[in-house]
Amino acid sequence: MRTPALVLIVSLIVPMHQPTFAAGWWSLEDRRMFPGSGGSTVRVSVVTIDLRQANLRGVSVPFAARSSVGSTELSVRGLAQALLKQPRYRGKEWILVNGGFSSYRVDVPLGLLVVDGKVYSTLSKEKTRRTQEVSGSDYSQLRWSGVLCQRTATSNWEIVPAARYTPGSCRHALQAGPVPIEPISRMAIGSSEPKLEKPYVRTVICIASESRIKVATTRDATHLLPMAIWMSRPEASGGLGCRAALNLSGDSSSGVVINGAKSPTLIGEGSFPLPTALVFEAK
Amino acid sequence: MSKLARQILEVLKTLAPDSVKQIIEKGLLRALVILVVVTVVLPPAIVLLAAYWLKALGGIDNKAVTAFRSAYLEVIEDGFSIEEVATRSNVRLDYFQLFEYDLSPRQMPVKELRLSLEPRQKAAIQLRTVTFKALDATCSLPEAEADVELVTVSLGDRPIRTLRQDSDATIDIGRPWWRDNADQFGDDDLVQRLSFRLTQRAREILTCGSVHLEGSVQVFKDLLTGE
Repeated sequence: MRTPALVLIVSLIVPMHQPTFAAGWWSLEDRRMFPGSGGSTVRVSVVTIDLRQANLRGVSVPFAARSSVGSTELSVRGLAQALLKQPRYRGKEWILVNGGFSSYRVDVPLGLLVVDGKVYSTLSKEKTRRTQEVSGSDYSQLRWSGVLCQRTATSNWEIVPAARYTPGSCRHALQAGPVPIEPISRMAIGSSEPKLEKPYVRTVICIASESRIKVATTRDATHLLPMAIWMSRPEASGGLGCRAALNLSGDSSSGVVINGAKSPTLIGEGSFPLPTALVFEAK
Repeated sequence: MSKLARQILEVLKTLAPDSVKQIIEKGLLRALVILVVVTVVLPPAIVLLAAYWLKALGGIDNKAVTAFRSAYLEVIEDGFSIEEVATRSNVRLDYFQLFEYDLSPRQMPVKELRLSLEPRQKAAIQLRTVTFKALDATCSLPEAEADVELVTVSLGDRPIRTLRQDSDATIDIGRPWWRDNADQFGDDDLVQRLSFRLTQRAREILTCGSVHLEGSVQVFKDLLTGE
């Protein structure tokens, strides 16, 4: 008798503190928190997507906006507005997430971008900076160390080491970094990271299982170490249960737009122009 | 002097090198200390104090103080030749030019940059970005052949370097280069062309898109004498 009562109480209390919105293939926990470095608390929004009911693909921002490279300066907000005008996206549910980093222009991707088998940008082989503390694994060889990849052979989504990427192996691929959590749930950020790096507002994508992807967007600046510790912790212990995770572009470019049943909802700032984005759509 | 201080002095005497021991034995310790303070301790201490007071005076909103501070700074700048040191690194630079090109097999396989470089004149060409770029959504880049040589850089008619993707190279047109290549140019010839040309292999594999190239040319006033 005690356990059902406890479950009932918890199920009533938890939504009051962690507003959750769900629409079949996705859910949003808008008020999660984790302990940051130096005793701070970092507020974070988590979108969970069920890949059994949804598709994910990377997009080139200028091409998605039907423009040419070098001519757009669209942020997550701007791209969402552009997509809403297109028949393919109008009146449908989709989630837009900021992608990787910019190269010599804000709309030119830095590193690999493969969209539906088409290679729009090739792999960056820039070596890891000397100041970075590295794990010594394949994930620490290159500065932009991870590739979010949908395997051509299996259609499964993985985060593969950029140093081991082979051409043609991914139907969709987006290079970014660093990789804070290596498969399976292995911490890949050195303990000195909070001393060596600045904190940023971040967007980190996480593969929780074959069919579940989570996108964590912080509202406060944070180092990667405490975020990775929290994300790798099992869900039962208050974490996200991430098996692997990849740091996407952050700061003012960090943002998620949920175009749900009602009007679009923006999470994060999403105001700085970006070259790539991720789009989730219902199957 | 307390007992402890005397003991510490004895320890220091024991640890001191022979030359210092001799000075102490001759009763010249006080002169040595004064010499060390005047030549080693005081100069940086004075500079530190000056910097501290200049910083403190900078925060005072008073015309007389501001004028005094400006005059004092002027003397220091003249005395230490701060301006001269700051500009010395650029004083030999004749001109500096940035370039940025998109080379494509059909539209622009070669791009030439006009230069005015005399034989044996020192120069440096820096390449920061060499990368494939898809220009439209139908384009798929040849990623399997991303490591081929893409662009040949030539000075006049002389190829000087071939670049692959992600090249971050500085080509130094200095004494060694002129020693090997001066015979290609007449004594009165101006080298007027720096060219970037897609390699034959790049033209074959690049069916769409372009190779984006960014960098700079620095030409110095130095005319390097032959050996």
